[in-house]
Amino acid sequence: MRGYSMKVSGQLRSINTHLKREIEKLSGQKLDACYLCGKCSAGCPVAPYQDIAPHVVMRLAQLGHKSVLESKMIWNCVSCGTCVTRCPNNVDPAKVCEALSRISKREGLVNSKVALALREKFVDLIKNRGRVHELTLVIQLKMASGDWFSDLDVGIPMFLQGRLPISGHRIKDLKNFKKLFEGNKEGNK
Amino acid sequence: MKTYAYYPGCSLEASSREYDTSVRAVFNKIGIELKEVPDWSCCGSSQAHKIDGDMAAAIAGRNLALASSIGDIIAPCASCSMSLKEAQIELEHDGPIRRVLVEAGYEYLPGSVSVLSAVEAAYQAVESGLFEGKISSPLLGLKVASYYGCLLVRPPKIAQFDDPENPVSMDRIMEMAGAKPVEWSHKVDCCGNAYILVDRNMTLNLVSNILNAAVKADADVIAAACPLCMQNLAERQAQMQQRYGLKRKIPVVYFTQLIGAAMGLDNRMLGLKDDLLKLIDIRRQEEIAAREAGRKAKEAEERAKEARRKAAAEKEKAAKEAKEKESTEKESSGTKEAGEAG
Repeated sequence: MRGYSMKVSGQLRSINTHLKREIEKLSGQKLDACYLCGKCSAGCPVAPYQDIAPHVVMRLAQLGHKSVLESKMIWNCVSCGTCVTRCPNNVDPAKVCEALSRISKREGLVNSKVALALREKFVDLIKNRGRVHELTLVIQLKMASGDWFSDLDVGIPMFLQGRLPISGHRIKDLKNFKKLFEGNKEGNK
Repeated sequence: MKTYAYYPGCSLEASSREYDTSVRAVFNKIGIELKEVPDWSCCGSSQAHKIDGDMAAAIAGRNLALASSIGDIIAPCASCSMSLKEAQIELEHDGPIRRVLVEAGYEYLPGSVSVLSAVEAAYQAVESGLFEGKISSPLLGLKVASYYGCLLVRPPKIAQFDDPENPVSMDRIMEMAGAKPVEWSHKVDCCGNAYILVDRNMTLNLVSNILNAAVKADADVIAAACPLCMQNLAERQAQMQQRYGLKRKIPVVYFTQLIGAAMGLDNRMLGLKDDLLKLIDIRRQEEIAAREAGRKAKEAEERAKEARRKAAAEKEKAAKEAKEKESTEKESSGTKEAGEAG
């Protein structure tokens, strides 16, 4: 396993309380409840493939250190729920990663363009049709990653079996459904 | 006949049709009516809440509002059931999300529905005996690795079902269907879900670990309950054999397909492949032969025991007779001696 530590760029002069407070507000988590036991990192399935482990994310978030916004971990959390299930102090590191990725996008520090594309294209599809159309989603993600060939051996048979239909359903009440997106945006501002 | 609201979800309409058909067929057979939620929309899955938690709760909540006239919801996809459960917790109190829904014309009555995954609903049916007398061709001897994945049981505060680290409900369901659930290590390990399209290497490593654990436990088949798990586990085994150290291929099916096979439903309708059907037959015959052999061995043992008991009784009898003979001889010789003395 690699990547369980991180070079923190720049000096830690003080705690950036502004960033810390924003993370707490967006995630709904009390960052100081975490005492860095590392249980989240021990169980995290994706941590071995990232730059920093979840408890390091937690520490940097506690300090309000901006470098955490550039990490890959905050984008590649798969929301499996292992960390929050095992946390002795009821903290949800996945929610912290989520909050950090939103701030990271706003600040233009996105480390994983494909992970960003996944969530944005997914939500765009829902917004436009009411349901997800798998084939469109896959094609859009392939455009984002530029990796066109590695899934063809799976995709072509699925397509031929009719399991990736070209046309998808649109819900009938799309007009009112779209309001659910607008209403919340106003609420957040 | 009990009626549930049925929420298929986007994947069951397209890539995972066999899950949809098998769920409908199995529940229909045990007398549970599934009424599709009218004009349902996507639940937001594991992506929408990453953009905006309130929006995710609102779009999932719309489905709860639409279902509230029907009743409790069965959502087979693990991701859907989790999103709906999360939204339901949100909607139970009068907060911003309920207001957003009302503004868009959807009203949710608090406490009107509860959300069940298909595993939960099937487990409840097993507990209340709905499957009794329905298992016409039990999956005898079939070694099944029940794979729960993440969202059926985690996070426990929201899932509120089974044990988050070592769940057993699907194993009990498989036992009910006559199969042999195996003990294995990766019941609740994550398959990487849609991140197969983001970080292939990571996801294929995660999946091959899960598959190898099932192979190590000597399972014949993996039973899954989530369309994303299914796609990751089932579709890329050839690649994983070449590059990720997967030891052998192992079939992966939805748990409802296995229940359907045990209930004698049409295999083609269930979407079961011939290879697996052959394996089910082989295991069944092996198990029947093993049971027969076991019965015969037991009978032979009984017979041997009986013979030993008889022999011992005869021996005892003979010994007793010999003793009696000896004592009568002694007696008669005693009287002789006495006569001589007299």
